[in-house]
Amino acid sequence: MRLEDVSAELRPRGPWESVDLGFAMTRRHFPHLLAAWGLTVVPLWLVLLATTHWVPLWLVLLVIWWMKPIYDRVPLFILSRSLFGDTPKLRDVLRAWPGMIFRRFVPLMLLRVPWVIVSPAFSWARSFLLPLVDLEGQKGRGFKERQKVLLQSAGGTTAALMVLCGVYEVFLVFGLLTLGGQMIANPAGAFQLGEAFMDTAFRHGQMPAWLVWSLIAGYLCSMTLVELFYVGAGFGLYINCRTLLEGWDVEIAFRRLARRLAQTAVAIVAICCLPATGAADDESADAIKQVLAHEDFKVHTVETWQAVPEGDYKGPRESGLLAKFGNLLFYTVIIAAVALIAWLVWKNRHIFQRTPSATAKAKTPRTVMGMDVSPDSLPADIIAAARLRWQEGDARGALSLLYRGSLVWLIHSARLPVRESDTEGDCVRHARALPEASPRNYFEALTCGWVLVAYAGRVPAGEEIEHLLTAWPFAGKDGAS
Amino acid sequence: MAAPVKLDTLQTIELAEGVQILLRPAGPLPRALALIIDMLFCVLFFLLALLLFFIVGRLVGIEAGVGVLLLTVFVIYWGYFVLYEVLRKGQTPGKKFLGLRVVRTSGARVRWGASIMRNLVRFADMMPLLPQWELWVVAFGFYLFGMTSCLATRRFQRLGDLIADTLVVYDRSSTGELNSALRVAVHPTAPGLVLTREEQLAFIQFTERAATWSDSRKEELASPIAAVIGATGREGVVRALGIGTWIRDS
Repeated sequence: MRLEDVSAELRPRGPWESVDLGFAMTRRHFPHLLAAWGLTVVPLWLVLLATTHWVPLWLVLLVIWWMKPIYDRVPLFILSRSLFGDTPKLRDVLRAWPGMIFRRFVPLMLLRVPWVIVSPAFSWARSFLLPLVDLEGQKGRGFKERQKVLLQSAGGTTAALMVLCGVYEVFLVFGLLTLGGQMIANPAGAFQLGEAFMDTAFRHGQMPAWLVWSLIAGYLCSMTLVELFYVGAGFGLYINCRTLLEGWDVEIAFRRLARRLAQTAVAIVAICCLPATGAADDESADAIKQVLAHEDFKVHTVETWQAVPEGDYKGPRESGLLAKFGNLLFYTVIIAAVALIAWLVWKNRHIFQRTPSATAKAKTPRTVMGMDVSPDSLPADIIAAARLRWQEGDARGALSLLYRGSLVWLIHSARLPVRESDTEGDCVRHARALPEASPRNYFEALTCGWVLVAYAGRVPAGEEIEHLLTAWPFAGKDGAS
Repeated sequence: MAAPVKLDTLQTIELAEGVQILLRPAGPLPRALALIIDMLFCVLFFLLALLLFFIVGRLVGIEAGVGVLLLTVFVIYWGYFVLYEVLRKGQTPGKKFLGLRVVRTSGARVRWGASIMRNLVRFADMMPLLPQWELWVVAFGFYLFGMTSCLATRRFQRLGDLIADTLVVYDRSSTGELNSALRVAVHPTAPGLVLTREEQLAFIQFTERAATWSDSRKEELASPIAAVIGATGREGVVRALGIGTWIRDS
């Protein structure tokens, strides 16, 4: 262990700051750590999970949870070695893995019994004390004493670290599941997830197998992520304790100072051995003065004057009358412009107010309800044409002609605001605005007949059509009257 | 295979005058603790809002009470962090308790814009939100995004910090209280040569913390610089202490 090679800045830190340093260490080696974890711990899990054929699932999960200190050895192995500038390759990790599992397996597992047998502290400060076992190889009495010393300086923080990491492990499981549920495009799927939880938690339902296995997968993912950072944090705390207790930072600085001196020693000796040169001071001062007195060293200053044309800044103010006129002109133009704009706005105020009559007038519809209602599309004598069709047996065609003719009259002669999107009912409503009663009543009767033919396929009685043909109240097809 | 830059959690900022200040960005765990405390405070405020609801509901009418309740809850939920951070110089109660402070990445005080921004984005940090939470007035999530961002960035910034260009830093020195009582009385001696800033600091550290080390460890620490202090063993330790005292007091 050469302290100078250490790859992190060592200085006395507060407990939380050393946790942060641990996090930074984990972050720097994260891909490497993850790969090592995947090659060592994950296969072990798979083997353990495969035993669920013979062993109850809860027991397997308990064993997986219980063996956490074993897994912790993998990141610790990498982090501790890379701190001293020697990052192990994945091959080295794999080679060390069997040793990590079996070395002092039993005491480590016993330490894990919470609160009871050997060390209540270990269950609270696992990642902080693991370096004692693994890196220092402390055992028995030595371990106890050493642990007491270390916990004095960081005990509270390790407990908080433990609790927060535990909370986060749970958060991560449910967070990942929620995220997965939200990623399911089918909302029923997401709902199903929540329902299954509720069922199990509150209604004593059987947890479905897919939920069990996704919970296990979520837990193992969460354990992987949290454990890597937890070990880093514990190791950071441990390093900080050693730095404080043994003055690692001072040792590094002193060694660096010694090395710097060794490098410069030769130079120092050379400088010290030069003869004193104080006597030459006066002569050189004189020489410097002589040189500086030379013409070349004289500082020249040049002052120049530049004429400013008088008119540039005095002109407009001097000729008062012109200026006043100019001002007057300027303001007149401005006022005139404002007035012009105001007048234009007033003149075209209809643009700004939406009166329905204006818009209706602006565009007469070419078609209403899909029917052509331009005057040119109709025959000159609507009644005659309709009667002809009626006699040919085409009642529908006759009524259609009459209806279109009356619409044309309503639009073009009566100038009613009929729109392209209006229905038959709307047209009747428009027609009620007509001043005289006879076209109003006629149009209503015609609409009745037309709707029956068009939508119900029922031909009105002969006399009814006859009445419609004879009672036509509209003067001409385009309302020329 | 040592990385070229030594790993550290500090951030150095050089001010316009050429003065260096050090910011110590705080990691996710103390920030999570501060957040828990702040949430308790929020709950406290919500209870006060409920009290207000009952009073207004009794005096004015139930609808006015509900209005006041919704308004107060809104203000508390969106304003708690912003108001505290801006008006109390970057410290909500939780951060104050943990000795944390929000600053700009330049080390300057956090202002309205930055604080509002970082607290609006808190929603993104909270994700994934608890399901079916839209029925509630206030949202809460698992903070997975925030935690991931915090662990993945060099200065422990959550998404809101990244967007608002802010940091959460440790506000007070956590090792300063070490041992003024344990100081050793030695005669100050000037060092025989010019020392760099780091070396001076090392001497000061040696002096300050000497009382926590055993004699043999002190001698061991002082042994590499025997050439500088001109002595070894016990005498060397005393001289090193003298130099440290001299640097510290001058």
